[in-house]
Amino acid sequence: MKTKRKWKIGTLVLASTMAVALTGCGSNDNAGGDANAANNAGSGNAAAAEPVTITYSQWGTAEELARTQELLDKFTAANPNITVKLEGKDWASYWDGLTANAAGGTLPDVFKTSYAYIDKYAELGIFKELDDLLAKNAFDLTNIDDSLLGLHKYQGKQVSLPIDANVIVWYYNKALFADPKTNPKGAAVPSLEPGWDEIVDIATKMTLDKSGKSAADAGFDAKNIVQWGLSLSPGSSMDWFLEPELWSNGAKLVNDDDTLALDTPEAQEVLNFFIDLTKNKKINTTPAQIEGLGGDVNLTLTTGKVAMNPGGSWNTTNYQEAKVDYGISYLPKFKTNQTVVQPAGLAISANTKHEEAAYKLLAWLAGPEGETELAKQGYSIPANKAASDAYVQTVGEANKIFLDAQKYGIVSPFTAKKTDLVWTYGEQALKLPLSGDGDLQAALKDLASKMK
Amino acid sequence: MNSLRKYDTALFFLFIMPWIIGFIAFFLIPFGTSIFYAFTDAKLPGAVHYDFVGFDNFVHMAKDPIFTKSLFNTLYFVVLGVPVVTAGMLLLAMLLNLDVKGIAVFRTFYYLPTLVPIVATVIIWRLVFNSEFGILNAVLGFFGAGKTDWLGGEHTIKPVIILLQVWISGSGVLIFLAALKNVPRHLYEAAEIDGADRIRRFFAITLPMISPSILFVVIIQTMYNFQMFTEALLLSKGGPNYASYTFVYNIYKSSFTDLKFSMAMSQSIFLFAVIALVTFVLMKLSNRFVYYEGEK
Repeated sequence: MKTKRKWKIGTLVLASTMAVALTGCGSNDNAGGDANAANNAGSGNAAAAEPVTITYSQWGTAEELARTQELLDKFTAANPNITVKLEGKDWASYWDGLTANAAGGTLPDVFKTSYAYIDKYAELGIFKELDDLLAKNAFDLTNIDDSLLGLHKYQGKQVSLPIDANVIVWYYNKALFADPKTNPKGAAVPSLEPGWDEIVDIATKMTLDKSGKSAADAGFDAKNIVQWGLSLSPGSSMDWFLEPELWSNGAKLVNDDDTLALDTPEAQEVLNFFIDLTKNKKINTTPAQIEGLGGDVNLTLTTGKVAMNPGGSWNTTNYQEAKVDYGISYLPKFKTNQTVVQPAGLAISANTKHEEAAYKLLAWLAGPEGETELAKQGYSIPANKAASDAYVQTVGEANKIFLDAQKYGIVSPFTAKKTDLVWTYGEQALKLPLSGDGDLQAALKDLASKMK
Repeated sequence: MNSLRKYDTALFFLFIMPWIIGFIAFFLIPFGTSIFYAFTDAKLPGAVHYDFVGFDNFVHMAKDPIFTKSLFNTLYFVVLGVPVVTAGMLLLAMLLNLDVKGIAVFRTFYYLPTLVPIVATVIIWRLVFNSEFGILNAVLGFFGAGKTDWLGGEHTIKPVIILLQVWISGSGVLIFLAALKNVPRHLYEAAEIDGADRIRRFFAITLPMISPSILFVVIIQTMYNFQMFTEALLLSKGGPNYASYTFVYNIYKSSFTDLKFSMAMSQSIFLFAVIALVTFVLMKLSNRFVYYEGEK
């Protein structure tokens, strides 16, 4: 009797475990089953009315995601059968998350890409090649610059479509310049195309210590700075700040064979110039100070303690949210005007089960309709020229500089190796030395050996 | 008789089957897969194209300066960090074991940091230790000290992380507190009559009596420090110049950022071997240093 009951309990335990395990798997199976059904329905034209749910993933702040949701709502209104689930992450975790998705076979159907990561992730085979799909559906590529399309190709195949063309510029806080308390020397705001001499002069006047003395005064207390003339961190913004500045002085960040190009006299001149700003002139923030000001060098302006910083066209949102009255100029130059144009794009996952719906979303977002809606929001610069007019109408003349600055964009495609340099090794090795803390030459040698 | 025995054995396996299944599905299979991929050049687990490369990953690993540095950092946290953190816990436990008014309030306060999610704790620490606006430098500045870049300095970041571990060590403190409460009072009374002072009583009675708890805490802390990740990631992103790059952080970077999963798996297996070895040595050593009341 007793042993019989034991058996019963034993079997029950096992059975319930199996049940739990099976329901776990089971729900997956169901999802897969639905997906297959939907897929079959999608490929047959007659059954196109079958509702489909696809996922779209991108990086961005809460504000940016809300704006994307607006676009997706408009897409769904035009395509009532397709529901799009938006998955948002911040920039830093987005790429690691994409790797995890690729490893787990759970890639979103459509996802945002950056020109800087195309090669690296294309090597994983996560992108669907778009050439056939685009040709079959007669997508009009003539409205998108060849240079932008080129940055979203891998081995000659289009794997992603550019949707916006962000550009790097120089921002200043107008309010700080207008108030005699924060601008006792009466420094003028930067001109439209400033050289570094002009910027250094302004920054020296705008850097103030606790007692209100500027960095130009005798007895300036560099240990107690309360307002900085500018905020730069060349070591942690290699791709979007250091590289165009190097080009401006006739130097390069990487050679054509992907080796580090920072040992030329022109490059050394640039690096030492930036070190001098922080170490000796004391008119730039140190990495620790940037950390204390919120951590993002392109957002230090929002603290009201920094007069000028480099930033992207997308940062206007952040400044508006922080109620900063900002002015814009081109990036300060050594010899020539240079900047970086960063086209983000859209890709379809190589193993999507909803190819047709995914393509529809991609073509809508990257095509005239979606791009025009994007332009009307006034935050991103559309890559599709069909939307250029809408953009200028929305943002007005004040932000036209973002379109004008495009012509100074450097042509420096990202390779997998350069991506590693900029985001994996470069920051660790150069952040401190480029702010005057540590041996630059040793760090460069170390970095060059890691690049091999 | 024999058949009954067989029957009992079968029953036994039936009862533990759920755990065996779990062990196989969630440990043995992933572990075996890792070993398999560690000898390939697969960029992703389940990658379609990969080749067997023998011990190449392990050879590259040994030559990689970042790997060596992360190994050194992790050993620092184990060899220096574990004793410091354990001593810190013990010290806190002894203070909280004092018989003073309102001790319950103090016990609560010292346990609270353990209840705060580590992410929140790290953010608070970033504020406290910031060189420009942090409260620590402000206080030190009041006494005339210069500004120290705690989180940005290659030599200060590791001690700060160890200090952070003491800060959140409430659960270890709780274990020690319970052990201290369990030391029989009469032993102290007898020693006192024999004229033993406080220090002598600590080493002759307290330490041996709570040694099983010490062993437990040391093993747990050792394994934790070998696998340290969150602190390094959130406090300083492994920087500056890889000064807080821990072993597991390096594994994470190898797989998810560098897209070299096979390399990450080789590194994991190496770490597994090291932890297994250290735990084995600790257990062997414990025979000599740990006193169990039940044993003669």
